Amino acid sequence: MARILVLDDVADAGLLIKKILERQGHEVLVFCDEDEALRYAAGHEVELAILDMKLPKLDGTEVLAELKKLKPGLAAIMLTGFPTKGGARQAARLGAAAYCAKPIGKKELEETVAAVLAKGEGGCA
Amino acid sequence: MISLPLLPVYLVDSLGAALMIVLAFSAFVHARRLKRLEPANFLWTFFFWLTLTLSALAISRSFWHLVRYLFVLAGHEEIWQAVRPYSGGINSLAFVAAAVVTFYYHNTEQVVASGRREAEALRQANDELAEAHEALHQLNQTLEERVERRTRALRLSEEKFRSLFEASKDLILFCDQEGRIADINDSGLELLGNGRREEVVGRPFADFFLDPEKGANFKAEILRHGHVKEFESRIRGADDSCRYLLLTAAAIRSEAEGYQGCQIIAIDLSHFKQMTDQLIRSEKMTSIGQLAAGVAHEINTPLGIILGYTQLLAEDFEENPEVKETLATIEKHTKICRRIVADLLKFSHPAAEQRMRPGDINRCLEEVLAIVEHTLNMDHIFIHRCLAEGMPPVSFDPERLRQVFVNLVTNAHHAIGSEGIVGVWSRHHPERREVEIVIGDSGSGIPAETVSRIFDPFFTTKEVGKGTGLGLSVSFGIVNDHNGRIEAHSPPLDQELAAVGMRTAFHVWLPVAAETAGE
Repeated sequence: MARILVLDDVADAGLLIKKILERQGHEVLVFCDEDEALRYAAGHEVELAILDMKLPKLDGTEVLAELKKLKPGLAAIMLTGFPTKGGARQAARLGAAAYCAKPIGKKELEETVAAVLAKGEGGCA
Repeated sequence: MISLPLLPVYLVDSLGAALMIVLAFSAFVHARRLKRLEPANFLWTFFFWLTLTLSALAISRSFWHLVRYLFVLAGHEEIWQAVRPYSGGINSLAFVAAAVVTFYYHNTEQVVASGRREAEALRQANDELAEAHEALHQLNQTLEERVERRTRALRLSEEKFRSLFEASKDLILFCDQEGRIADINDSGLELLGNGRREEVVGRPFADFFLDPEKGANFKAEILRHGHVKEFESRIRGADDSCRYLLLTAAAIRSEAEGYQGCQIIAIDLSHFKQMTDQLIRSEKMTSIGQLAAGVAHEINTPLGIILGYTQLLAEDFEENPEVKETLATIEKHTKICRRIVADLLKFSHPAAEQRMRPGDINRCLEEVLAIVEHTLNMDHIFIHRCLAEGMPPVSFDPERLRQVFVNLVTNAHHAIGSEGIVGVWSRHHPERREVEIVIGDSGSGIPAETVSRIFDPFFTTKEVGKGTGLGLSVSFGIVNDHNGRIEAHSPPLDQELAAVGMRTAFHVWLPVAAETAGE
């Protein structure tokens, strides 16, 4: 099972992902602040990052770029409340494995995470 | 004896006597003629009697003088001396007669004077009359001039108003007491009856109102207030078209007979109204789109949390069917919310995100029909296809346009229920560089008041939970993004559609792809 980093400015949303994925046996760390998340990633092993596109300080893609600098092999799933083709392209260019529209259902999340962890990439239905 | 030296005296006397008779008689004859001419004339009567007596005196005196000379010349002076007193007596009698006449008419002078005064007065009156006549004549002449001037002014004024009436681009008409059209200008004739006078004149104006109640109100208002100002109404124009007119009317009344009818001026605002409606709609769509996007965005996160936790809880209560069912209900409705939000986001989809590429619109339609045909056939609804051949390529986003067509066909299905026809047409309008897609149905039709609101977001006639009221707004937004137009007509304007039983028709116009437009 994997160690997953979740970054969402809405604590409840992050907590929900944590609860769903912990039931799958993963270790989930939830952050609301970009800096804290980046600091944690710098010092720990992380296999997957689930990032909200809209964050207080930085853009989700900017955080992804920073994380990729720290851990080039890190898999990432981007979550957005307002999916756009431009956003999807940018995320893919930066190496995100999936780009999903919120609200994401439980089953959809489980499947996406499983797919990404298995193949290193996945997609949202 | 008469001595010779006295002869001239006698001669003169004799001749004088004869002359006296002649003159006296001629005066008498003259006076008598005058009297006959005017028997009532006082003066002539006086002259008649005076000359008569004077003639008698002249005869008497001259006779005796001549008798005397005859006796004297004959030498019988004594006989003359014997008759001389008789001569004097008869002369005196004649003289007295003349005097009597003169006395009898002693006030002749006064009478003549009075006659003169009367004549003078008459002359004056005559003069005055002549003056009055002259004045009257002058007045008459001025009057004639004035009448002529007024007539000219009136004619000019008549010409001015006639030209105003005839040349006006606005509708001008006159109604009689019963409200029937008595006269109408060419613009009005064109608008109401395609220029055919017999179809318009004589018909009650109220008949032309699409809403009969409004027609009655219009008439009542003129009767009550004597005028109507800026009365908005939908009027049945030529070929049963709907015209949006702004009416201004005034009653025509005469003091003697009261209400005579009314005059009406109408401005055709159909085009203006259509433009403003379109503008308002597109403004409304834009602002609602922005609002919707904002709301959708904010709602998405909490909605996701509700959905996720509900699903988590459902897992925890796997063994408790009652709780599981409750949670399933929450999940179902949260998903409905999610669909609405997703629709809202589609509705406000930014144009930059479209995948526009030139393609065959007929193929897009066929793909949609292939998917829905089976469902339609299950309800005994059949598709009437009229797809034009040789359609030019149209630049469109296939996914989004399919969504529009699926939406329109689904609406047609709902309008029919079961048993009916869904008609699909495609046409090419080279002159406008447009293609037209029509999706019609033989369903229940749409009431006029609903047609105008049909593209409004959240407007739905379906029962709660069945439709979000966003389907047509989203379609409108998508077509708009394709630089196209979408319109609904119920009943269809196109006779070809009505002929195959279509009750409602949705028309979508899309521009022909730019790179092929020049080919």
